[in-house]
Amino acid sequence: MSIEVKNLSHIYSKGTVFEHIALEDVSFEVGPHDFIGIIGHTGSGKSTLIQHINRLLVPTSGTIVVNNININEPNVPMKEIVKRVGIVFQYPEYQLFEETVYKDVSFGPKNLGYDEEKVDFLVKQSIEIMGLDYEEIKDKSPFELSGGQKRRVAIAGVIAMKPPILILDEPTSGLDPMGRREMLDMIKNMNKQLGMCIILVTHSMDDVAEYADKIMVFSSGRLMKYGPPAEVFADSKFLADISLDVPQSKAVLERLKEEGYEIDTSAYTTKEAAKEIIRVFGK
Amino acid sequence: MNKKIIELRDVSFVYDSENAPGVKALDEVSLDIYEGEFVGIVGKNGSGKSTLAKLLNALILPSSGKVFVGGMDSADPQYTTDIRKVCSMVFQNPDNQMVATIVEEDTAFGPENLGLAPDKIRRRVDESLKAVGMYDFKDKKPHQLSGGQKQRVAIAGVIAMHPQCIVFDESTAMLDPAGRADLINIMHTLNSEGVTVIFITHYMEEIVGASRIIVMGDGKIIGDGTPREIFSNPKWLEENRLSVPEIVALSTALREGGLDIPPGILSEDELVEALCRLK
Ligand SMILES: Nc1ncnc2c1ncn2[C@@H]1O[C@H](COP(=O)(O)OP(=O)(O)OP(=O)(O)O)[C@@H](O)[C@H]1O
Ligand SMILES: Nc1ncnc2c1ncn2[C@@H]1O[C@H](COP(=O)(O)OP(=O)(O)OP(=O)(O)O)[C@@H](O)[C@H]1O
Ligand SMILES: [Mg+2]
Ligand SMILES: [Mg+2]
Repeated sequence: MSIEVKNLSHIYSKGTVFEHIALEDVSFEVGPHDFIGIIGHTGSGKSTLIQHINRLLVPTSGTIVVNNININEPNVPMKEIVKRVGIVFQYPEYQLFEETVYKDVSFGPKNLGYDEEKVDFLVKQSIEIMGLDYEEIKDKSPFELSGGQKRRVAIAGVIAMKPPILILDEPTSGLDPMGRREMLDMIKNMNKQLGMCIILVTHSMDDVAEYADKIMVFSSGRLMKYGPPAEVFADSKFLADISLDVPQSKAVLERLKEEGYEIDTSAYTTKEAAKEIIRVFGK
Repeated sequence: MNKKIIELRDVSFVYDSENAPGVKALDEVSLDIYEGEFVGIVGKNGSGKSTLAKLLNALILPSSGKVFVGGMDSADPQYTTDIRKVCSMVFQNPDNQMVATIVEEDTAFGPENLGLAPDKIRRRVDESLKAVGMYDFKDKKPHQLSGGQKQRVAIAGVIAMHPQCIVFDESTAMLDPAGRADLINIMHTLNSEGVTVIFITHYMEEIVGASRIIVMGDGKIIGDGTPREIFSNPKWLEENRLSVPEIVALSTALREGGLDIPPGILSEDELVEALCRLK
């Protein structure tokens, strides 16, 4: 197992009037080559959870084991965790702080102690993976880029460290539609070709349906469901009750069923849904 | 015809700095927006959408050309405050927008600046926080909120000022599906009450209900039409790094698969209806 979370609870500002239970008795396992999607309403605890996986937050109770290391043991150095777990935060553009794009992206690999040549290579490669023109952008200030450009630079900085576990908190928000697709395809590639373990937090049901192998569903700090997309999207009423949704093409299938047609509603991607509708409505 | 609320005449904007001298973000753009319109703005990353938005609020001034908001020339400093009263903005990132240390104080900030009476401020704060579903969080500190919750508070702060025109710059980006649907409903409600809505987004399905869509590309307006017109050309949209709403993609797949689905379908209701007519 790559990640093993057991009975994790997190209470913010415990013992004050602001006390808030953000995670409650959460347990799950993630395999080394999994592509996991995490969905859940605003404030359901998703960001709180992932910050535990690289020790930015410490559990109120429970344990987190990453590649057989209990990361909250006092003798585990932060560097060992950073090497294993890369996190792209919800507003990654706030992680930008250097004067140039090059310096920003090179910060991580430099800190891992790589030599100049390797750093150079990793920086160039990651900037290009993110669909940016290396020569054009490397000397610009990150603060002078558009929203989507900043986001790409911030993600390049994390990818440059090549972590075996990559966690992304809403990486596609702010990207144009084509950029969103490119980003997800790129993440899928890192999963399939480099074998990286991916955890993707998102509010887009269409994106998790299409890309994730398994989905975690959070509500009010609890892990409500954990399974393949077909299973998670099978109960649209349950999802609606916790402020979520089903992919749009699945919603169409369900509407058709309500209208009395004998149609299989299990498809959850546009392609599969189209096939089923054509089967029923074609001659 | 309603009155013009926004007028851009041959507006160019150049960002000039040491590292990147002379980035032309807008290139001789002319545009009229009328009171009561609901305008969706889409365009690839870096195409100039946020730059356009900032011009409407006099946060930046055109390098050349003219911007009029409610008839006032944005380059004339005596109008700056009034322009911001007419046209408010919800930014891409809520953190840039939070000013106070408690949620309800943050929402009250705008109305206080307008010089309203305390009881009126109270009413507006309550009503705005309720509209975005954050009333129960009114005593919280901004850093105690999740990403989506911050976004809602930022929106409440703008609604509380009762502006004539609101520019939403990717304001749905961090919301869950229900929150997104709620906010779009709020926009349509405000619009039906006469507020001009300008909504910048990367999610095509969010603007199928707009009265007009403007497409930006490399600092220019490259498309301007109804949602039906704009979304009827998937290939052109793709060339400009955009897409069609999922329902349009599904309808197209069905048509290509031999079903007799009329063109121009934009919503789930329309598609279900068209299918029901087949059989
Ligand atoms: N520092 C803090 N102090 C107190 N409460 C907090 C703090 N940070 C977050 N919370 C609360 O904990 C809950 C979980 O927040 P979290 O950021 O994990 O949610 P999320 O699922 O990532 O939401 P979103 O989709 O909006 O990003 C929220 O109700 C939030 O208000
Ligand atoms: N502060 C700045 N200094 C220099 N150049 C800038 C600055 N802000 C934006 N730019 C540049 O101006 C152009 C337009 O940027 P703008 O932010 O208006 O794009 P946008 O359409 O809002 O993009 P996005 O979808 O990524 O938010 C881009 O090329 C961008 O790099
Ligand atoms: Mg979050
Ligand atoms: Mg922008």
